[in-house]
Amino acid sequence: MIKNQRDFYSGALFVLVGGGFAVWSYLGYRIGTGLRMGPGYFPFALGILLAILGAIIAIKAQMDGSTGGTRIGAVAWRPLLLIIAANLLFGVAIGGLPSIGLPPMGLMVGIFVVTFVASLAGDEFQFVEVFLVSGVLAALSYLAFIVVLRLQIPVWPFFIAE
Amino acid sequence: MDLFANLALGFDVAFSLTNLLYAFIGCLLGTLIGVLPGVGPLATIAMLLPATYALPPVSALIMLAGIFYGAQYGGSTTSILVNLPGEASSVVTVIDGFQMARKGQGGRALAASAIGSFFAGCAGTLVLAAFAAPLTQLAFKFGPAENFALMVLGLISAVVLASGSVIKAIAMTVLGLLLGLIGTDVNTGMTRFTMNKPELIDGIGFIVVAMGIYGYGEIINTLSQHRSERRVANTKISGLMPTRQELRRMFPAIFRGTALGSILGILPGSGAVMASFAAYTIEKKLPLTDGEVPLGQGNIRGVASPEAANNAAAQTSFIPLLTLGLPANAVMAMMVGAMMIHNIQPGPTVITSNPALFWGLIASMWIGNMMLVVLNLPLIGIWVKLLSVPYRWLFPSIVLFCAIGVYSTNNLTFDIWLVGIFGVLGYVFIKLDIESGPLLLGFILGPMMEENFRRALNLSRGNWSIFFTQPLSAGLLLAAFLVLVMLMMPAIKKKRAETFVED
Amino acid sequence: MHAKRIVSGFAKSTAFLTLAIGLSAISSMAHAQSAWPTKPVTFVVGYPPGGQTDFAGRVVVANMQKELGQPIVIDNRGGGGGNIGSDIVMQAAPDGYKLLVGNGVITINPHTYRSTPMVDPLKFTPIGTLLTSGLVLVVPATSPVKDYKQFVQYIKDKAKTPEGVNYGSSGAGSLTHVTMELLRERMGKPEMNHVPYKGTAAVAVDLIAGRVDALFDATSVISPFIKSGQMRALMVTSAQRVPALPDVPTAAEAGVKDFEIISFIGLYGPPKLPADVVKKANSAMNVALKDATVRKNIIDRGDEPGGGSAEDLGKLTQTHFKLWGGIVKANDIRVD
Repeated sequence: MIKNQRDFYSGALFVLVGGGFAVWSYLGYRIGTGLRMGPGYFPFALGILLAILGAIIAIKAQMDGSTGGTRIGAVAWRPLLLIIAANLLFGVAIGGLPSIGLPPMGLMVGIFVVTFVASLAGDEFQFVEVFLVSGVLAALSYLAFIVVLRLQIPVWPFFIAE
Repeated sequence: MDLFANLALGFDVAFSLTNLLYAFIGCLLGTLIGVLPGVGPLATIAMLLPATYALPPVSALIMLAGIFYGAQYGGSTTSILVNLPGEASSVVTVIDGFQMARKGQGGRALAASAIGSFFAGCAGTLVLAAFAAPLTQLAFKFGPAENFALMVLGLISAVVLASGSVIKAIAMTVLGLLLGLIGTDVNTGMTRFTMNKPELIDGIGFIVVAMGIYGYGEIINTLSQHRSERRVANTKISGLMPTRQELRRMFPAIFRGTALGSILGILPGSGAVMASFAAYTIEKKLPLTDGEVPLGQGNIRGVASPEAANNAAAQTSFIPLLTLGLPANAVMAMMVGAMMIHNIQPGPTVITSNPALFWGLIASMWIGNMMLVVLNLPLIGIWVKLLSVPYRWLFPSIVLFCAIGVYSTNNLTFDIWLVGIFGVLGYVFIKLDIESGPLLLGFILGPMMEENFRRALNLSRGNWSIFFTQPLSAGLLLAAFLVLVMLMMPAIKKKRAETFVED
Repeated sequence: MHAKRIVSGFAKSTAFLTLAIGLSAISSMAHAQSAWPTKPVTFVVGYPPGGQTDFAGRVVVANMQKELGQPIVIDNRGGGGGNIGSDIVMQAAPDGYKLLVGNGVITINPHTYRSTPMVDPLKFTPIGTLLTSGLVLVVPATSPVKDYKQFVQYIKDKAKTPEGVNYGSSGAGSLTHVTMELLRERMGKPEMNHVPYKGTAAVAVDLIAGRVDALFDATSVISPFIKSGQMRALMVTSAQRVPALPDVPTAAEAGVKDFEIISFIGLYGPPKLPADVVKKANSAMNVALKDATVRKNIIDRGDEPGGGSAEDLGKLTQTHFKLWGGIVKANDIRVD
């Protein structure tokens, strides 16, 4: 039985990441000595330190008497997946996916995709409203980023831009 | 008094109608750019540089300096209102600023930031005018050993930032250090942890980490709460200006922040960031007065002091630039470029060879700061109104601006994939109740710390005593040790626990 | 570019398209090529705004677009030691709408990076040199060394002491690093410890404070320190003396033969860029570089305006690529 879930998993996370960095440094780079350090020295030492800290946190979590408010609770999968998906789809819209031959669709398409997908993460999705918000954002972004700041972002889909 | 004669000369130059206009344009542009996450002053100055070729040098520099301040100020606006630190020095502003905004005190936080910045700007300008020449020697005292010691002190102080467990905060700092090491190792030129991805050779960008952990993490967490629990768009906005009591608390904090910022700003590299973190640390260590909310829960001192520190540092970072030609950061490097294009060689001779420019620029800094207050105090009302926009419209917009900002720093879609990872990480940290501030500081200082540590040992042929035989470095390390002891002391531990329980 | 290929592929597979439309499309494409440019041209810069490479691109843009009759946009693709930007142009279609403002570092990178693949600079189509800049050898003002001859003796003597010799550079595998290694070879390989920094500002502080003994860096960034008396210059590596430092001898004058090393920035196109595009871009670039304000902007910064033919840049690229290949191998300089 884990007493303080939040601390226990934090500790486990640190052990995992710290250990990972330490192993990676050890295998991938020259560690060297305190006198002549290699590129692996600093990350190796830090990785070990992080793993030790993580272990202490996790062990202390087991001994912790208080249990109130230390449960992790349910993971909000819907917002988590949709917000991250919206972000990734924006990347796909701007840069395309060369590996499967998908051409870039540009900023305007990207804005509508991001707004729609992100809005789905909320609990009050209304098509018309989201459409209007997208339109306003598209106009503002065009003005701010393309007209005024002249950022080098493809604006229109490939079939219009060429 | 020489100083006043010189300043008079400066104001004479800067107070022309055209120069005031350029200062205004610069500040306005800078503020607008600063509000957009990711689109930093660097890109803007680069873009406008050719346009300034035709201007007289003083006007050109006045406008560029205005962009720099404006962007710095605009960055605090987004930090306070929507939890998006656009640059490293606003990471601490987020902590109390955003809490204030959630309580409907966003206007007061913005005003505190504006007033703090203005005061620090004025003081920093005076420091610059009076001590530019003597202070330049300070930069030479800081070799690799001293830089390393200073960063150790900074990192240990960062632990104070977190209100939760000390050990978790230390672990987060270490994690930040490790993430910062991804990329090229300066001491050998080798790439580390890049998985042979060229996009990672120069490391992960600050914007990527900050937008992911703060921006996306916070949005996901807010959406997971039930509509009634959300405290983001609090419709009750209580006052745009700080109350008299808040002003009384704020001013000493502004003084402290200004003093710290003025000193740390002179050091190349990490000055402005260290200044805002150190200022916050000090505020957190000071006892609370009656009825004051603890820092971390929306205390106005937690906004005013770091903002003052960061603005004072922005002023004094001109000292190494103007007197030595040593840029403290990339924006300053751009200013050197601008000066050289206008046939001014920054360096020890600039004060004597071009007094009109030197003092004109200093006077224009003051004017720029004033311009910012004039511009921003009325804008506060508008910014705060933004928060009354329903959250269901606000959050997709924030996601969009984060994504555009991340992409536009290097025009790489790879950075968008990365920010997704940090978004997930940000949510994990919230779920596990770990604070992210120490991670960000570790992330910024990590590479510089390792670089200086190994360079010091490289210069001393592996002799570790170099850190203790240099008085400055030994003193800084001793101070770091004392802070650590203080942190470990049971009394403080208990006090931290109390703070934590109150939450 | 990618898009065009998809569109034309689509056209080929569609039987509904009439011959007439097909013909007109082909003729318009042919026309587009000879009339380059018919739409905005992108200059890719492999570094963030603000550095020397970015400056080299931006300084000629206004005059070049006047000459070409189409806007030119600067596209900063920082990262990867400049390689991300180089790679974009390497992969681009040879239609002249994506050109590279390439730093001479592209001739060093393929030798020093061994596990990360770096673009082969000889595959680019050279268009013309935008600007060049010599390097200058400096010691702290407090150093007893007054000229190159004394320098050699000083280094050789100090190398034998327990303290040893430290030389700085603005980065491992940078031009400033490999140039010192080349000089070390010429001096008979005395023991010299390399201390890399990130950029010039940090190493300048440590040189002035005397923590490092010597440094090579671009004249444009170093000359203010020399003028202010904080550093002493021993020689410049350009063929002629530098206007900003008229008293500093060239390497040849100081007694180092065949030591002509310059940092250069050139305009390159993707492989197989048609000759007519190269010619047109080169002549527009040369017109821009003859403009008095452009020249003044470059010279004021401490650099020298480039110019000349596409072949000149090709030769410059080739000789440096060969030179650094040898130096890097002989001294086992590696970056990953």
